[in-house]
Amino acid sequence: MALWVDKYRPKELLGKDGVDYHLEQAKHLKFLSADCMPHLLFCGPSGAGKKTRIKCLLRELYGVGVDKTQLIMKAFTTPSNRKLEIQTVSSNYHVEMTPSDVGIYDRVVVQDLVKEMAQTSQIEASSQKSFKVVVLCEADSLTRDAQHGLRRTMEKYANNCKIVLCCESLSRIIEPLQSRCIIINVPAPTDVEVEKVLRKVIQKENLNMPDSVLQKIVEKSEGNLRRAILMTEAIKMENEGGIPANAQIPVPEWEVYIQETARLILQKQTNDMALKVRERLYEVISRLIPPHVIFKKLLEYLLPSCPSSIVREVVSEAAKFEHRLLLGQKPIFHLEAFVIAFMEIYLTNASKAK
Amino acid sequence: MSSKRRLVVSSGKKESHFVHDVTKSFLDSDDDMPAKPKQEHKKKVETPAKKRTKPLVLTDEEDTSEEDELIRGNDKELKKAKKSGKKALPPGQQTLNFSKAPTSSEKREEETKKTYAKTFVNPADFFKNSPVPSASKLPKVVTKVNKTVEKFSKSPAKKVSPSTKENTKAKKVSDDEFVDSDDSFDTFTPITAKKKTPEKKKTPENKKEPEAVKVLPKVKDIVKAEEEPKKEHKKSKLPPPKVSSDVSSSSQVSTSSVEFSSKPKGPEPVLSWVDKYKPKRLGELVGQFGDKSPMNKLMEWLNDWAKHNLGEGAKIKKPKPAPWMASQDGTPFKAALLSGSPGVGKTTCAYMACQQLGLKLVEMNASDVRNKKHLEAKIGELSGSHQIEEFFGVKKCVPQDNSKVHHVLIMDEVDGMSGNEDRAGISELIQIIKESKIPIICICNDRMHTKIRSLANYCYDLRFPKPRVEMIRSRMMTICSQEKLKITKEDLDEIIELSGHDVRQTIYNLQMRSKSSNATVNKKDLSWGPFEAARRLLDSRTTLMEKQEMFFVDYGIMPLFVQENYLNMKNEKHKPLEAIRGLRKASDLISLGDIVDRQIRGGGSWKLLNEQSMLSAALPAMATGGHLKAMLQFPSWLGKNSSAGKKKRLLQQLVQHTHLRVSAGTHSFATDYAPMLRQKITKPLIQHEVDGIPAVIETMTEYDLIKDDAEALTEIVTWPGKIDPASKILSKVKASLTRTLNKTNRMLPYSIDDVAKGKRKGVNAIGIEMDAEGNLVEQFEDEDGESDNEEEKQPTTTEVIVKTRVGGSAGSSKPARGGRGGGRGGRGGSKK
Repeated sequence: MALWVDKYRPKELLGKDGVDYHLEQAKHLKFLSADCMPHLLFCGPSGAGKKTRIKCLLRELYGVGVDKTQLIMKAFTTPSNRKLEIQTVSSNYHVEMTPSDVGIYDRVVVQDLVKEMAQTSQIEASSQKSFKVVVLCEADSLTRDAQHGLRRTMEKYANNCKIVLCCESLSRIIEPLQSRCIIINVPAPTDVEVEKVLRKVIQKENLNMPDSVLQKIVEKSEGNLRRAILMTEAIKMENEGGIPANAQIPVPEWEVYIQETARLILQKQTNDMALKVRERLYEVISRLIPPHVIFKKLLEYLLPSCPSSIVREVVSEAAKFEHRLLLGQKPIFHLEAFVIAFMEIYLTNASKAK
Repeated sequence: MSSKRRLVVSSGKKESHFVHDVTKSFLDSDDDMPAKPKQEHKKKVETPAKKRTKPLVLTDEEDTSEEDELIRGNDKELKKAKKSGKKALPPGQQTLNFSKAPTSSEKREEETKKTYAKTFVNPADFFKNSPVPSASKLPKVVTKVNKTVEKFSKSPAKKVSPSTKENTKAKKVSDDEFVDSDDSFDTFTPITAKKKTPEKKKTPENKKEPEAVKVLPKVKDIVKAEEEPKKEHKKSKLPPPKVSSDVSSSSQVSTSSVEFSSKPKGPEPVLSWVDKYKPKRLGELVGQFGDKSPMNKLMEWLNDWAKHNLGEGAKIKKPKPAPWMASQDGTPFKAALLSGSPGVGKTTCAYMACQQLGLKLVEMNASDVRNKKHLEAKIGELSGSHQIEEFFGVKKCVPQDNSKVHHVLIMDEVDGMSGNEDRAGISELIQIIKESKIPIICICNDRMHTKIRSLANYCYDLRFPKPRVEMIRSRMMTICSQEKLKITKEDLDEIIELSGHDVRQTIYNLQMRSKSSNATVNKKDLSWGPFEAARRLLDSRTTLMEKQEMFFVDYGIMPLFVQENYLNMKNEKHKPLEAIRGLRKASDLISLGDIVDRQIRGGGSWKLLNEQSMLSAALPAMATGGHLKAMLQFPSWLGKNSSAGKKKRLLQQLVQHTHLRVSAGTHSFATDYAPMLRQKITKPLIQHEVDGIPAVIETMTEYDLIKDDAEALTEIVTWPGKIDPASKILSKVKASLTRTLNKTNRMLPYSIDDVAKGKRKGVNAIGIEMDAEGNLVEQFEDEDGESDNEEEKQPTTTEVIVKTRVGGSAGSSKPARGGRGGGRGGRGGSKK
């Protein structure tokens, strides 16, 4: 059985199964789809509903035909003669792929595959839309080269191919691309909206959930609707018999792990502890927890123990190293640098207090 | 054996030949220049005499029996030689006018007779003034000469092993001669023998020299101009005798002569200290003390060799130890492989070991051609052959039996066996080792060389580490005191360091220094390995510039080394705050260095490499202000990175498999979905055991998960220190789940390959689509021949079932006939 988050995913922009929030935006999208659709750039935090809206939009454009999808591995050859493959999900009308899956070779994907798709036009233009759609996920992790590669393609083949980009942060999309698209910002739902959706799900599942727990979930989810629904289901699974009013929200283990790491950092500020922390950071990174999330969570758990006098410096250090993280290559270097910087700040403050 | 015997026999023949030749040549020359004045003749006469001078020494040393024979044979010659004048002739004019010579030669004879009388009185003097060639008296004289030689050798001034000094020198001569004569054993002995006698006549002039030993150098001086003498001159420079004389004779057999130079004679400035202070006793070896030292192991191995490899011992099958044990126990091996950097004493050790155990050795080094054919020929005749001495009555020979070995083959510089010359040398060597009846010692520098690695499988692995400074220092101190060179301990240590712990280099540098005290010791250009370089880089004593230099040893890995190890750099004097402050500086620099690294690698701005050297390596190493307190660690980043890569592939596969249902990207899948999904597929099994299976299968079907995915999920989600809930599942439940999974004919929208290995061979996705009515339309497009082959090879493993979805719910489905076509499938679809 499907997870609730997938089970109750909205299927259309407006209507009975329509999206639950950002209704104004949904109207705009519907309007866009009715007319000649431009290139779109969806951006917004994780769990806000970008993909859902893209799906709904496609359905709006082509009807249920877009749901008949297939997974296809597409092969391509890099200039260095490496043969690589990328998975695409495609229907008759659209293709969806994540070029950043192939790392630095995403440029080749954009130059070869996307361009090739863009060049071929729909034959039966009368029965369908005259264009098809290429959805590129995780566009913000596209390399510069790949993004530049998209520029001309987007202009030249705009008639028979619309590109929909999906990203979390606009700042990593180059300006020329931004200017070629209509930017659809999908902000995270407000707490009220999250609660509304959750209540809808609970009602459909005939679940009896105390309000206090619901509030906790809303608070914990931080506007990530996906997480909110998953948490709700997790609580339900934890408490098969019925959810008590004081039920604990299960915290994902990776978060617990980071929390413990933060505790270690506060506990002792020495070389050996730094070594221990490094090991743990490696562990977190290797489990594909995004480094910026690690930064955020670490800071979140460190700050409460900081005296107010050093908070400013700590936050600025975190920001500095997160910035460097984006400029650099190896997340561990910057995470470690932040941890040690924090240790120094913390220790200095402690010794001053004495 | 046979070869040697042959040698002796033939030598006898040759001798006669030679005599004949000489006389003939004399006569010939006579004919050629009859018109020349007598004086000139006299001069000319001298040359042959001088030529013979060197060999003369040789006779002295040879066993008496042999000498007797030789002298007898040379009688005639000796007489002739007496005529030789003192002045050196220009090279090339070697002719003698035999017929006209007599007058002068007779005079000479008288002189020599006088000297003879003297020599009788004083045997020592006699040695210098060689015996008069009267045939009757000769035998006596010779014996006396031998005695004197012994006396001299015992004189304290000379450190060379007793009794052999003179002998060895002579042998050298013979050796060389031998080499010159195109490896033909037959020729050389006679020649030397004949040449010796003449010298004795000449020597009379040197009578008054106080020490017999000095004779030789003088002679050399005189003869310098001539070709042969030159050779001898060279020989005199050769290193002092390492091995006893018995060994030398064996060396004659092989093409490459083992060089047993005579000990340095008198004030001989040419002899470098390296040779002068070559270890002669075990104790003089640098860094070879202790039971576990390579030297000791080598000796033990050699000692036990016969026991294990000959007679009864050979019949016992000895299992080969694992490669990493090869340095522990040498019994199964017939050969030893000494490896180590240059100048640590590998060759010396090998020689010493043989000498200590009284084994005769044959060396083949890079100067010999060592291709397959040559090796076969040489070694074939070597094993089981006799020493030439056996035939001259030397009693040193050990009785032949199967319980002992008498020879050792030393293959020096085996890593130099390369190119066309030595083609197939190593493989032949391995073959020889397998069948050898004598121990073989191979010596090389680079053990990890590809060529050597195959050889190493058959060898007792003895590694010579670089000796530590203290080890070298003690020996150097001895040398310094003997050479009366004053040097401070610090300077000495510096020289050792600069020489890269190379004992030989150190001695050379010391000698340089002795000549001019301010001579700068050249730093030995070392090729640093990454570990060594990293150690130096993190060493608090090196300067910033040195650190930077070390960075360039391998600019790829040095930043990683620094990052891995800077946390271990501590300073006891530091308070915790100071320590952490240093670390902060360092980590900040490292973080900056990473940005530069990205610019270099990503943007190709290699001009930033200098900046990176500072930011990533040199400065952080200094910033901590501590010393490396722990063992140098290899960068764990590499390993972590690859394990992260593996997890990433697993996760990507998960995302791909669930793609039809899940909208999340890889990162949010990892943070949000994965824990929940894992719970979904484990919890029912834990709570309801077998009854939970249907629920799990339902979930897995819904998300198109396969068993591998479930395992991948577990791997990604389970954190160290946390209990893996999957471990709580009873094994029988697990088994039954697997069975049920295998039974259920599930439809998957993808093909099943092993992604975790990072290779996805064959494009096995399928292109299937539906037209508007929902009918299945199958599309196959051959990607290329390859995918077809893949298909045939593993038809059973690749179960390709396609499921299409209508409106999000599982729609009609149909097993496809095989996954083919990847690439262009999508396009076909869009056309429709």
